[in-house]
Amino acid sequence: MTPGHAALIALVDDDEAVRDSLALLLRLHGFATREFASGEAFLEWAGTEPADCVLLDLRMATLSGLDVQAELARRRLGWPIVMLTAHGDVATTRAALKAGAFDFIEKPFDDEVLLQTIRAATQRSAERRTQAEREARFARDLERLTAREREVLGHVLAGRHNREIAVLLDISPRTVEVYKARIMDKLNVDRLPDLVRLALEMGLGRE
Amino acid sequence: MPEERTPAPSAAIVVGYVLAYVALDWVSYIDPIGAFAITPWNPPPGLSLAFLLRYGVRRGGWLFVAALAADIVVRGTPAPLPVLVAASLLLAVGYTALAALLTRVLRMRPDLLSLRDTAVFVVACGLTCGVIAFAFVSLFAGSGLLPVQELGSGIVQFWIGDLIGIVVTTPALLVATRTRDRPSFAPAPAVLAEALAIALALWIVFGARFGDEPKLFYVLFLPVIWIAMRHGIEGSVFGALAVQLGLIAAIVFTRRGAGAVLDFQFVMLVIAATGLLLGAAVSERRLIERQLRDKQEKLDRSLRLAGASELASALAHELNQPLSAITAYVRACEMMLANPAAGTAEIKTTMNKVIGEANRASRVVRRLRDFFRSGTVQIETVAPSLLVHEACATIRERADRNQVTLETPPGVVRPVAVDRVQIEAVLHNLLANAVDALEARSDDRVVRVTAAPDGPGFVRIAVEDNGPGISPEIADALFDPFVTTKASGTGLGLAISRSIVDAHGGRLWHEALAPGSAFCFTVPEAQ
Repeated sequence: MTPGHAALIALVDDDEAVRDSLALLLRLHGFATREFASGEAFLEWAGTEPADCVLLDLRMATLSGLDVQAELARRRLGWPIVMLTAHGDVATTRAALKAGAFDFIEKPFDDEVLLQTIRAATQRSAERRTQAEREARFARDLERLTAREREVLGHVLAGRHNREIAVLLDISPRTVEVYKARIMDKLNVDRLPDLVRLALEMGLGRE
Repeated sequence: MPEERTPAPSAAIVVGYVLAYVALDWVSYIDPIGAFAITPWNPPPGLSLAFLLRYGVRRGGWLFVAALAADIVVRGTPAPLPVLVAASLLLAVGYTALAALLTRVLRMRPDLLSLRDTAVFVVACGLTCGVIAFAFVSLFAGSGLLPVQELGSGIVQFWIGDLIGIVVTTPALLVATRTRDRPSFAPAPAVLAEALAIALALWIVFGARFGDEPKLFYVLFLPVIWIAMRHGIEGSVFGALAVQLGLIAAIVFTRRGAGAVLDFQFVMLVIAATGLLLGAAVSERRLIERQLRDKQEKLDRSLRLAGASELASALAHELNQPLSAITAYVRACEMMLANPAAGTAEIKTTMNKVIGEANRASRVVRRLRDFFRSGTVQIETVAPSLLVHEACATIRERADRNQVTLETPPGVVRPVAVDRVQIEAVLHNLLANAVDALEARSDDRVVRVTAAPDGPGFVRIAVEDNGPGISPEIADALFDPFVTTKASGTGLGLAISRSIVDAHGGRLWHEALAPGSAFCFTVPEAQ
């Protein structure tokens, strides 16, 4: 979640009063909401906008919360799901959590708990988005490296010393130093350990 | 093993058995061949077999004592003692072996509670008696005490005499000494009528002289069949016994010759076997029916329990919804009040919504209270239209949401006597099913509820929908518990509904419409 951009909560519940009241409360707390009276309506919308959290009723007349969760997973929409359950839905709640739901809240719910859970879920969503943005930026930066620089980076990540790299590439150790400085400059890192950590995080140098 | 369950007989029973054996032998010593116990009616082996089946085959020694005593007392030692000892030993061994064959090999239970046991009894006795008859008569013929030309007729007479003695006497004794399912011996008009029927049949055969007697034998079947159909084996054994006694009395009274007695006894054997097997079949069917009924009652009880817990869980869910909404609305109001920029109009709207939800919650609670108050059936007189109206009110919101039109055409019917809450629950269930069934239909979704007179004293209420109907595969299992087509259903709704309607004396069934389906039930009119 970037500042100035309200987190978007999708509300899926077949009870109109529950939906309406939750939407009002969440809007007053600064969230943007989308309301859906059935799992089908929600799935039709899903994918047109990115949601930060899905509040999903487990017991609905047609598609159940578990069905909707499975369909979201099939479409690889990894939005945090908070299940709204009733007391006694132990088995289904466990199934929802096993299938990767973020959390669950029992009806009738404590609004403080609800808001905390939603905040935690949107936080998770924001972190994921930041991570995705970093990955995208890194991929762009990587594009800017020359073929020779990429070759040097590969040897660095394999843990080789300047002298070894110099012998392998038939250049002087001093030139290796220059390449390394250029790589760090292009990838926006100050220290060599930072470069290695970032590259590993982004999935480079594993092979 | 049957032996483990059979108690040792008391001394009184043993003495009583020996005395009864001798007495029966004396009474039935009619029309003998030679001076031996070869008579066309010989009940003592029947008594012996019942004694062994009740008290265990280990009591076989007493048969020897009884048989020897009878020969000495009744017939005054008609043959040299060693031959009589051998004959008595042969009888004792033969019938003890028969008892062992029945209980240990063929696993017949002596209470004769099933058709299988009864059939096994008749067939095994028929075969074993033939073997004993051959051995017994051959013994006397071999000792030179019986002319060889009488060997064949002697074997036949002994066989029929002993077999009929067993088939008539043993089952009657076994049934009379049962520890459970004992026949009641209370005199009743029906029993008197049956006794008269036997007497009348005997009079037709022997007294009326409509023609040659053998041609009218079959008249004796009628009272035995009647008794068997009416009372099962518990009655037919005594019916056959009565016919046998009447037959013997009539033969003695009319002084008929040996050949006639034998002819009569062949017919008597068939009558006794018919009564026994028919009676066993009737009793077995009744036993199975009773077991089924017991099972049904148990199922009904558990269904009522399951119904209560299902309802409680459903109501809890319905309470959760308004409570959740109220919490959220009130918190929202609080926030709006804290914010000077918010308008009072929106706060007012929200407060009204809170009141609406509170009312909804109290409606749910009222239904819960009604249900538990009516843990026992509370019959009241109520107009069917009111039942329909109330049930429709509970489903209206769901119907509106699914764009289903609820039609309740007016009909003039008399008030009914029902437990209002329970019948409303049935209607609610049928309406909910109908609304769900219409999901497959894209438009023109209609549910019709009608009430109409149905035969004398009943009102028929029908819930019809124009949905896709019930597929034939599940139509048969529709009312079975735990059969459902719904992902979230328990499959108890229709089963519970049916048991509620049954408890009112009505019935609940399904009819296929084109298109759609109808669930109909009847309830009694108020008196």
